[in-house]
Amino acid sequence: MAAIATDPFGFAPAIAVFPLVAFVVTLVFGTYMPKKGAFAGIIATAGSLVVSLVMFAAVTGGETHQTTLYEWTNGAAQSATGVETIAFSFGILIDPLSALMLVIVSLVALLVHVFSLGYMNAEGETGLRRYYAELGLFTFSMLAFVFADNLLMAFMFFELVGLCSYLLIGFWFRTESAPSAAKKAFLVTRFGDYFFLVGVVAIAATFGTVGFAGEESFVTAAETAIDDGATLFGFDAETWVTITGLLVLGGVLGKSAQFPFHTWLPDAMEGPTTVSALIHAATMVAAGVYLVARMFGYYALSPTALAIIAFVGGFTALFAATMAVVKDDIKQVLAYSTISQYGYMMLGLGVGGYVAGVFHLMNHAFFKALLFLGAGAVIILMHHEQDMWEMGGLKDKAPVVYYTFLAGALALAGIVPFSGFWSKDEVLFDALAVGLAEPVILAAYAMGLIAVFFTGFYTFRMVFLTFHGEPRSDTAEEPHAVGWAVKVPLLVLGTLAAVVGFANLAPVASLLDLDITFLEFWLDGEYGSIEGLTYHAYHETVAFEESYIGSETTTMLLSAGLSLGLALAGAFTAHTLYNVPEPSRHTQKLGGAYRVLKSNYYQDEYQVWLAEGFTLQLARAADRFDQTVIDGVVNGTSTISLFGSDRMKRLQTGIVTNYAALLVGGFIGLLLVLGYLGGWFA
Amino acid sequence: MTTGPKLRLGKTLVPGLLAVGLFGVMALITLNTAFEPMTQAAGAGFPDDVSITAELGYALFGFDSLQEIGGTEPFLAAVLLVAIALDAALDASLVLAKREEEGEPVAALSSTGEASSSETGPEPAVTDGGADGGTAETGGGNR
Amino acid sequence: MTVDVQYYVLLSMAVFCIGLFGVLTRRNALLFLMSVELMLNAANINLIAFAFYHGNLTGQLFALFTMALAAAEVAVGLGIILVLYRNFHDVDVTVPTTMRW
Repeated sequence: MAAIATDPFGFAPAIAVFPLVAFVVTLVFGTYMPKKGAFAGIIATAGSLVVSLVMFAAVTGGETHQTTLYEWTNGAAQSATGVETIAFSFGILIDPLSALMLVIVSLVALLVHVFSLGYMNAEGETGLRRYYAELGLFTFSMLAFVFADNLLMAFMFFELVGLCSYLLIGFWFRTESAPSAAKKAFLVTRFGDYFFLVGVVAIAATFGTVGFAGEESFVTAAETAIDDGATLFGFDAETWVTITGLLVLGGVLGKSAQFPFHTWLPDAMEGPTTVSALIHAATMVAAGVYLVARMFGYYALSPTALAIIAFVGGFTALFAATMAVVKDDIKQVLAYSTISQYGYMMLGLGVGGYVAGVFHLMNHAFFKALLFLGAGAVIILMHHEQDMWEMGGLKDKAPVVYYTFLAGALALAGIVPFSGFWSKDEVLFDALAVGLAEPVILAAYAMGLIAVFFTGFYTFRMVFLTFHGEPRSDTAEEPHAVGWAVKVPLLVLGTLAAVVGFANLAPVASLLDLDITFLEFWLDGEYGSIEGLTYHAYHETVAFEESYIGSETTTMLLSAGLSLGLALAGAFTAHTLYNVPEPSRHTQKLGGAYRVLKSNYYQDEYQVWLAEGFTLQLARAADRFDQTVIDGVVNGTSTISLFGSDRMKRLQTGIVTNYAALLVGGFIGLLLVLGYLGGWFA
Repeated sequence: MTTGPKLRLGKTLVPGLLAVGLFGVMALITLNTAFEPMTQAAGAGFPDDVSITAELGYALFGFDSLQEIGGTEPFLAAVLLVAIALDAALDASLVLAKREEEGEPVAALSSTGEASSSETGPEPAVTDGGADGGTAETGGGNR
Repeated sequence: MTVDVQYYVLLSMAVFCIGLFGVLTRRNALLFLMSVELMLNAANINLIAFAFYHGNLTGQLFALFTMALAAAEVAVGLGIILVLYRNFHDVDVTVPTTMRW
């Protein structure tokens, strides 16, 4: 214990190493283990959680940590700002944001591993060794991504996380739909990651460094460049920061499933529900938003980039919420809900509401994981039936599942005092404050606000259809029982969904003038922090004006009232329509709008057209060029050689007099040349 | 009535132009070379009263002491070698001339008659395209 | 009255080129051999002329040897023509063309 007290940060690499060891152990010995690797994963993630909590405690005590673990290359490279060397390394950065995220990720991973005992092992799934190994690999890469101290390392683990997502979505690879969904997820995110890579290279080439924090980070370099009025690659420094920021945003949009790269997430529901809970709700999709928060000092320098982030976020929030309204599969509703909620986080970050965005990230991780695990429990109850129209009346048969699911639903809809209310309200408040000065942001705010109504509606539609009313099928009347492995994670997450909102009660704090906004203090460096990575530093850099209706408190209460009112209105509409013994399919009455929403605004068809109608033609043209021109040149060389030699061989006629003639001809030639050079004919 | 042999004229004479060309070039070279006139060249001519043929004979067999026109090289070894070469050429032409008629080799200057040629000792070398009637295949279609 | 040596050289070259003409244009193998003999004798003329020019008998002796070897060569050459005739049934030198591509 004394050793830990002296330097807890020495154990930081262990956070990622434990799941990596679990991955290797499961891969090698999984077939011989009693639960095929579940216990290795549980022990590893529990270990990671313990070390993350130690880090958290250390940061609370005022320490932060930044170290380079391994420098894998360096050399001379002239950057646009005049730096003459560049070094690429693996390092660890533990500051308030990363410590918080580490705890969240390891906790959710642990709970998902425990739940898997009940969802995968108890249900008699095969291929579990592969499942737990891939989960271990995923946890390793996600944790390493969280504590990465430079952009290139973050990119590498970003890609690795994408790979694990592909592997896990395609877990049931012998079906037709799962591998297809896995490929779609991988390709769409990869498309975004291409821009991310270009952005990383651009940042490295411009600033000569890719570190996130400290004196030698690209953030400080960018600030200096803007202050000096430098010209980078022919652009004004701020414009160049915007451009590179938008390039990196490509990867963020892909990974966090924002418009237009959102199409992969609903299909990713082909994977096991535990995978959806871990990867596609709480952690991997959070990677994009986390990256923006990590690099927030950089984005804060460019109001254009921030405005784009906010607008895309607000738009996606509304866009996805409308689609969730008409879905009948419980996991699809949750998938669109995830897309929508990440839109809120992007909206929050985009308007400079760093605390609001991170707060919503934390809350969403818990309540969305809870909802997915709850859906997993429902799926176990319903013998793997996912259509909500086959369910009904489950609340009496599975009370634990029902109450925890309800807690998650209340948090998602944003009903006070559950966590979702406080964070969503803060996002909307920050958006309103900036929106009153900027019309673009006001439009984004409006979209986010309307989405609150839809969120409330679809959430409670889901709850009522699944748990209330009369059972609509035999399976619903006689559900399969669930064991403790299912109930314990649900209870833990249910409690968190109810309670964690109290970390940052901003309206209460401002109304009653109390200092209870703990998360804000946490991110503001009141405990420990790294210079420049604090909320107030970001707030100063962001160039948005804020204005209020009346005073700040009045605006806050107004926005809180509006969002709560809309959420309750949505919930009440759902209650009227669906909280009846025999609900009918009301959404189909929307007619044409229903068809458009059900087809996801034809985005999937559009993207397939882009691939087939456009990219394929381009690829074919390139292929033809390759075959005719390039292969033509290569083949032409050999053809010329063959043709030449074919003609040349005809010299050998076999007739001796011809050879004699050639000899004499050569001899005459030789005589003439020698005679001319030797002056015989002079 | 037989027709006499006709001289082949026309396209076949084209390579002959090369020979003419060679003559032209050599003539050009020769006429541009400065030779001393025959009477002024060093040691030109042979003495009138000496028998050239006798001198040639003495030089061929290396009788330096009998020579009156000196300065020739000894040719004894060369004579002997040429003798051997002529001998070899004679034998070679005999070998080449051996042919087969109805399965029996016919050679010039053979000491055995037809009766003994049926007993075959070691296979005699034949140069008419193989041991058993191989002439037809190799000669046939290569006109 | 002695003739200048370049005329001897010219004579020798003329004979050589006539022989060369025969080699290049003649189709009959025997006439081909005769032309080769001409070329050999052209070299002999040259040797004799320069022997007289330098007053040295070596040239004449060498010419004798050349003649002897020419005779040997003809013997073998005729033998080869004989074998050629047996294989191709023709003494035309343009007929045997099997040793080619």
